[in-house]
Amino acid sequence: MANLSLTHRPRFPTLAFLRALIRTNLRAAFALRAAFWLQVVLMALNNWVFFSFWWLLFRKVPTLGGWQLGDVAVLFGVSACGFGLGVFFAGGVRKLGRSIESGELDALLTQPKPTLLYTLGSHSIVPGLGDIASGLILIVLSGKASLSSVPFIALAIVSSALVYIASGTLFFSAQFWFRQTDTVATKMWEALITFSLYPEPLFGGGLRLLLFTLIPAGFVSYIPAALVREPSATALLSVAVGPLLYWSLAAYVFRRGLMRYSSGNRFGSFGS
Amino acid sequence: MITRFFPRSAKYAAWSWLSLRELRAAPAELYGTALFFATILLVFSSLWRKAAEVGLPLGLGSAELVWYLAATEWLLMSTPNVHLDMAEEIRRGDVAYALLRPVSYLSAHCARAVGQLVLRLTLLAPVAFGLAALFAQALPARPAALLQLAGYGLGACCMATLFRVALGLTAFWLHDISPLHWIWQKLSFVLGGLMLPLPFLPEALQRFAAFTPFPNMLYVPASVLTGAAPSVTRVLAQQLLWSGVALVTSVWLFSRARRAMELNGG
Repeated sequence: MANLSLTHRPRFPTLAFLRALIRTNLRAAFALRAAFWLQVVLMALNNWVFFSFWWLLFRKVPTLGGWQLGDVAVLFGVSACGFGLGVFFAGGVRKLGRSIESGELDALLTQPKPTLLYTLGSHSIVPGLGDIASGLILIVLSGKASLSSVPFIALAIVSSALVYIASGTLFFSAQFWFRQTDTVATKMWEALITFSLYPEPLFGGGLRLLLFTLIPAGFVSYIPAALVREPSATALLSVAVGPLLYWSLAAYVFRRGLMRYSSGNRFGSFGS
Repeated sequence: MITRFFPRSAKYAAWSWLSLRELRAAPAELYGTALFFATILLVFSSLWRKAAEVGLPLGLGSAELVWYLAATEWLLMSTPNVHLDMAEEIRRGDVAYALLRPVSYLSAHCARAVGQLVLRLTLLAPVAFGLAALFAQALPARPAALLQLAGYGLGACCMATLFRVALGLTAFWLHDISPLHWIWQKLSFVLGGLMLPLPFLPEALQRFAAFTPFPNMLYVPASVLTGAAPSVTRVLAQQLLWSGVALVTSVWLFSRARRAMELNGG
């Protein structure tokens, strides 16, 4: 009750709001406990079944461009953890295009809180926790991580999550300018996930440029995984700069988009 | 013509036609699928080229594997996600209205799925094979095998659709079928040989896969392009057998769900 007091003013209101959003999402996720665990466990299983492709392939092919099974496990693990962390805490990104199209942002624009933060944090994708669990286990089993690399792993995962969500915000914000782009934005996001799960040496030339710009698989998994596999100052700097760049761009595009946003005539409450 | 001799089938033909027109009216989904198709083939053509540098097993070339993947992905992406539509209908309670219609609930969904399947197979075929030719930089060793693939593929997709209908019906009990959908999807990836032909699997897993419907959905039809497909009679017999299993399961699940709905008042 003390927090609701009119005299109480949090020192960092945006951070306090973010904490409140996370707390609410966690409570909502745990409300249906059986469904919660089922989704988490099955998502982890789903990822391991998918990863079995690499295990099967490396039984027959010893190396791929110098990569071995352990290297791919780190890449897959970092990407899965980053994605899981992102969609668990900012699952609203997946609904952003539809919210813009249906005029659902109306309810948020009247709130005295950052609209983008509220939109992204208003929904949590529970199976994301399964992604995190399966990803962490893959990193541990890869043989490429040790106790001393724990800070790098944490940094790599957070950086990956931030770029995932920033990219999603960019893709789905296209709806502000073009109608019915939700499907194409979804496929772009899926392409990002797909590219992030395959070793970097497979891609060269113009495609490589694309993977560090428009579809930033490089910042989502290649560089963060490189930080875990072989920590270096360059990898550390890139892991810090990537999220900063993409978040600045995402926030700018979203703000510009909001200026073009035309209100819907939908009558209802947010999230209905 | 069929509807003249079987007048009751007219309404189901109308369902198929309707779903076909719905899909044509909203082509964004198909464009998105084509984009995703291109992504997957691009990734795998690069993967197989790199793998070929150290030698590919089973005597397969990278071009053959790209064509194989194009075939399996074509079949997978053409099969409509009827189970997700059904689950959403059941979750929202719209199923109560659907049951009031003077059509069989199951047949109507199957008819809708067939309409979508035919259009998706037709429209995605040039995308799949055009991209395969582009990324593999070669045609299949036996171009006539593409016709055989079309025949086997149609049967395989119909069979897969029936299994998806059964999956969709589990929403009466599970409400959210996405976890089941993921597991089914990933099992079909591995045991169906989506990315790797089944001989890549360990012996024990290959033997286990033979007792599941998954190889008949993807590996068997696509293996006509690697010259490893079984005879027509064997393929047809297996597809019919598994379609029968899926159909009986669907009818059984639906009758149980309907009884439960009548007892509980919907």
